[in-house]
Amino acid sequence: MEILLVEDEQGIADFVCSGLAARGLKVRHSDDGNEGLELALQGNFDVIVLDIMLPGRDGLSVLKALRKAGVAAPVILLTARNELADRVEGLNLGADDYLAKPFFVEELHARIQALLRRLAGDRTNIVQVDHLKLDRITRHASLADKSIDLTTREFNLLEYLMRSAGQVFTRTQILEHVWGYDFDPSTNVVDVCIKRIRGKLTDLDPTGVSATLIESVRSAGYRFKQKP
Amino acid sequence: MVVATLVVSTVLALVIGLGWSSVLSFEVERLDERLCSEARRFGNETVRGEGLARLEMDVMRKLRLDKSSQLMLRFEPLEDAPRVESPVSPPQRHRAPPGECSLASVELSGTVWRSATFLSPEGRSSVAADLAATKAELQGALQRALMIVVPLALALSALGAWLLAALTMRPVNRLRDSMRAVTQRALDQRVPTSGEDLEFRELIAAYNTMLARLQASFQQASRFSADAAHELRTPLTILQGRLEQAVNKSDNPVVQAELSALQDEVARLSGITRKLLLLSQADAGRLALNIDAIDLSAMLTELLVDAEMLLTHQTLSSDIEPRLVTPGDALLLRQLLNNLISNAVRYCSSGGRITVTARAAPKAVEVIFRNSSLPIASEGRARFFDRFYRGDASHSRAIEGNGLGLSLAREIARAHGGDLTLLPSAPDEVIMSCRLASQTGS
Repeated sequence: MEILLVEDEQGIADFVCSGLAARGLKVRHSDDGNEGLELALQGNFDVIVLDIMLPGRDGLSVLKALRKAGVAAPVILLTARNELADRVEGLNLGADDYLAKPFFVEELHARIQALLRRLAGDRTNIVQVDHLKLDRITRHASLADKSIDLTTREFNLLEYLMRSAGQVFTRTQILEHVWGYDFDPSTNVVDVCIKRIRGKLTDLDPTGVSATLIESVRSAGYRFKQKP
Repeated sequence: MVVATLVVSTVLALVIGLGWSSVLSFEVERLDERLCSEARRFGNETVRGEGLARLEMDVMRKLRLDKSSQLMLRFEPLEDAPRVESPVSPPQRHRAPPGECSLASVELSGTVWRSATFLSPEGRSSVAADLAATKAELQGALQRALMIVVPLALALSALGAWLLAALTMRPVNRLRDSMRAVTQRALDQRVPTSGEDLEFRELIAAYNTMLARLQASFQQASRFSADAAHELRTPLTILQGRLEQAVNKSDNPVVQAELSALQDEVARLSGITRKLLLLSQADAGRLALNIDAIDLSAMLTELLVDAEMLLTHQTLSSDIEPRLVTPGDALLLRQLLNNLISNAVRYCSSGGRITVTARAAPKAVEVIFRNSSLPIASEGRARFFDRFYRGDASHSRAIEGNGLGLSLAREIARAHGGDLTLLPSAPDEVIMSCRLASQTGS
């Protein structure tokens, strides 16, 4: 899997490249619009991540040229200035998704995975850790084949944690992915939601072992227990 | 304008009145002349020969008298010619030389008579008229005339004043209309000066200059906050990305907790930056909307599930009509509803109630957010939509939030052609009404 990142801010490019690489993705970086377009036209990238404000040629114009040249690779736009107008125009020009700055690499990774899954079809729709199984398509959750009744938020939260089992997710990260970035970071909605999921797991597994699958990391956040 | 009309009419009526009084005095002076000429005519035998009654009628008509008792005729022949007298005869107190007319005012049983005596070769002829009656007659005529003339003058001058005012007011009205049309979203409008009078051209030019300066400073202010927000984005993105990376790399939970707390602050900053950017776009009238048919009922229900999770000592109840659809931007409407719900949750007093109702109104969807609160004075209520206003500091210390939520919520509602208003309520209650257009054809 190879990703093309076109982003002129070195500080941003650095952590995106290393973050995506740490998650097993190969990233090619360009800091110029024209060069980015050249690379995108030549290379065979699985996903293209495009910043909108670029020297040389702006992201929207790169996107336009790519679609005109028949490059169908999914594009994620990174927006900053005037994000609403850019979002509307970007989606009209054929962008597949967009992320507003500031964003989490984990979130970018999740979006890339979603696009890749869409390209790959239904094969990767099951997430399973231990006895806990989630079906992304039917949105059905089960613990040792016993079905769990989860709300949309609970399902999304669980899926987010399970996808990168072993990794710590801060409340802010979870809040942003599950609730969207306009939610007040000081609310304890994440903790309440985790408590409810644990409660539902304990109902199905009175030993309480399943509930410990979601670990609290002090006051930092949460982590899904890695497979033994 | 009414005052001007009244003044003009009064002056006009006064002028007419003065004119008529001089006519009146002139008429009275002419009475003597007429009496003399009648007396002279009466002295002529051929005239007398036509019959007294007829003559009397004729003189009465000429002197404009109503009754024969107001007129006296008398003829005294010099020798033995027969006397001709009307039933009442003028007194004989003075003698006029032949060929001349002598005039006198005589009081006779309480009535003042004006008499003229003419001495002809045939005899002495006298004609006397009731002076009061003559004057009264003329005054009556004047009064009748004034009664018609004054209202007519009034009406005419009012009409004139109205026409004149309408004509003068036309450029002023045009200016007023254009001033009304100029809102913050249309500061680029200018009033055309062509075809106006010189003084109005100057006024309009001054107004246009003022508008241009206003537009420039407004654009500068809104571009400044947009640029500031944008400039903040890059460092915030790097900060957040680095913190995320550091959390992932660390195995020390204490460090992770610390970094997580820093992330919260970055998220808070990003939230403020984002809101400021949206507000500056809304101020400039450039809030770009990606319009879709939005199921408000579903969106509200979802957000209320979240809100319910956050409540500890408050109760939340809702009454949401199903399938309330509005044309709008999903992202912004979610922000709008979320801001209103978090606001209600944040300011709801402990043990209080939050009620959310949504229903279809004619051509609109109305969502009402009601929460009990600590008593809020009306000055505090008036500032609800002020940016960075967070309520009375004494009891909002523990309340999170940046005071941009309601202001942004209202801008979003307005950008969608709706509005957000604070409804009157008891001091310990807050009721917000959000109205949005309902989707036609659904």
